[in-house]
Amino acid sequence: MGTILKTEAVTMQFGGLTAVDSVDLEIQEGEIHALLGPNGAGKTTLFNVISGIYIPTSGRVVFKGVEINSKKSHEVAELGIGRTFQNILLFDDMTVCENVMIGRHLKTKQPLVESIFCTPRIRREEKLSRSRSLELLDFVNLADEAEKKAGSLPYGKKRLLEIARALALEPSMLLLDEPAAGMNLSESVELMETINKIKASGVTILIVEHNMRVAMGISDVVTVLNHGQKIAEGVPAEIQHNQAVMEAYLGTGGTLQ
Amino acid sequence: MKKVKLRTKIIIAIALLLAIIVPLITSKNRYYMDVFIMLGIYVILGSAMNLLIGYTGQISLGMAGFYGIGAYTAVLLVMKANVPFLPALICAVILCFVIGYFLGFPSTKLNFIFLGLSTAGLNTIIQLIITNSKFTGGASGITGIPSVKLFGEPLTKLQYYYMVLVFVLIVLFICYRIVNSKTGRALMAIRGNPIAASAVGINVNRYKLLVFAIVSAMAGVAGVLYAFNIRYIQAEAFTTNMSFKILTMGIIGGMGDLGGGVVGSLVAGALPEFLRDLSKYQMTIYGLLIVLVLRFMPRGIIYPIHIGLDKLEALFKKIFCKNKKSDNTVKEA
Repeated sequence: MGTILKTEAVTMQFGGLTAVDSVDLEIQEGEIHALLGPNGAGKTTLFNVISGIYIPTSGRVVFKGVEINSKKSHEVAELGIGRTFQNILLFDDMTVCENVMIGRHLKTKQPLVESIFCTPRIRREEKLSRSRSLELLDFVNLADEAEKKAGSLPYGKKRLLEIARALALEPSMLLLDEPAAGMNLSESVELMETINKIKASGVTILIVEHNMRVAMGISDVVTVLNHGQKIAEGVPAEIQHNQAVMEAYLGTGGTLQ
Repeated sequence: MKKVKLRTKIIIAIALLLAIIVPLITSKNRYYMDVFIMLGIYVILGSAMNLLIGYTGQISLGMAGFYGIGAYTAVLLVMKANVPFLPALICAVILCFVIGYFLGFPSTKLNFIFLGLSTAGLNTIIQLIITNSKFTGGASGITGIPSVKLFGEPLTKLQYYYMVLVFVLIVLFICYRIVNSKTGRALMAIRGNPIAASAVGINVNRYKLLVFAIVSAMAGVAGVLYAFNIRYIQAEAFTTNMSFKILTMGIIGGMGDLGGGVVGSLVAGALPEFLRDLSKYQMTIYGLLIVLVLRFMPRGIIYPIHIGLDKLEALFKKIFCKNKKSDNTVKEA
């Protein structure tokens, strides 16, 4: 197992604000790597840099040996990085199944001209796309909702649908931005099981999570950011007793359970 | 594959039957024939607009520009280079596709409102070029466009209408196939959320340019059919006023619904014929139509029709379901 994703001194500035400040990150293939930190620490910004929404002000992002700094979002997806969004970006007026089918965009071979003439390949691909999407919905326990509008789903299920859509890309790496936000206890336990299943299928996961139970419970390695800088890194047990981390979260004199 | 509902099939069959039979009855009346031909052309324009605004969430106030480019290209090819009608039409369509692709560029940079403004600007530029160029006959336009011939005989109005109908069906079929494929899903994803679309690997800019090219090509077809029907063209017919009319057709029927596009085009296209005395106020009426439809029927005119048909279907099932399968009863009705 080697390094799948590496950031070298990645800095992201917005005008005078430095949201991510010279962060080095190394993620090993097959692990679940959590990114923690208080609000405004720069976690989502780092996600956006990795997934191509922002171009970093300086530094390098390397995925499987390829520099992806200036790659656009869809090019990063093509290389095999799927992601979900903190503020849930689903296609609300389409069905749950169609949302996942959109996720299979790159895997569906339907050239436009052939689509118009409706060749056998187009029908075959359409069937395959639908059946694969239904399998993925089954994987995240949403099979019963396949024909509902995505916008009508409750919050927790929307998050699962986003994961299914990202998995439809068949990525080698998955970025999950606060997947447990807004979930109740039983939902988040179910989510942890799902994330572990994804890991078991060989997908490397980088996760931002505020829910400590989830973050500490599933991750192999934790990196903590504060004010855009990396302040700690290690296995969950270490991080829980790290002085700098406790101060970042609770101020001086607190302990993190 | 998505199954087409039986009810939809029946409606399409009825609509097609009407489209074929009604003009047969009125074939003696030139005025009616011209109206029907224009309605066919409007359905092409409105469906293209629906693909753009309803499915992809992009606006264009420059459709009339491509309608004009199509018309002038085919007419000039036929009159100055003696190209036969069909090859001229194909050339016009290809040219509109290419120009549409490049003029779609603002869509990759601008948001909805500014895209509307910039495409309106492009429309004005195209119209000014047509008006001020000697090649296009200037402000007085081009007269004496030859009629389309079949086996050496000029087409009658009825035959011309059926030719237009064939093109309408081709355009609608292409729209249907696009919408129900990966391309259509990509377009709808862009409408839904461009950031999420690119996160699953959709090249948003490429698809925006592609859809602009496609709808421009469709507008080009409409332009050619228009020019060879009235056989006189002038820049006046391709102003932003016409673009606004096309926008109305794309919006009022029901955005993101192929049937809605057709209904919207027919309503917006036929309205001026019922309101001949008010022709001075045509643009006012279109504006009012958009405002009223968006206020009271945000899902378009087609939506109450869908609901009505739902009720009708339920009623039929209730009456006939006892002795037969419900599907058969609907067919009989």
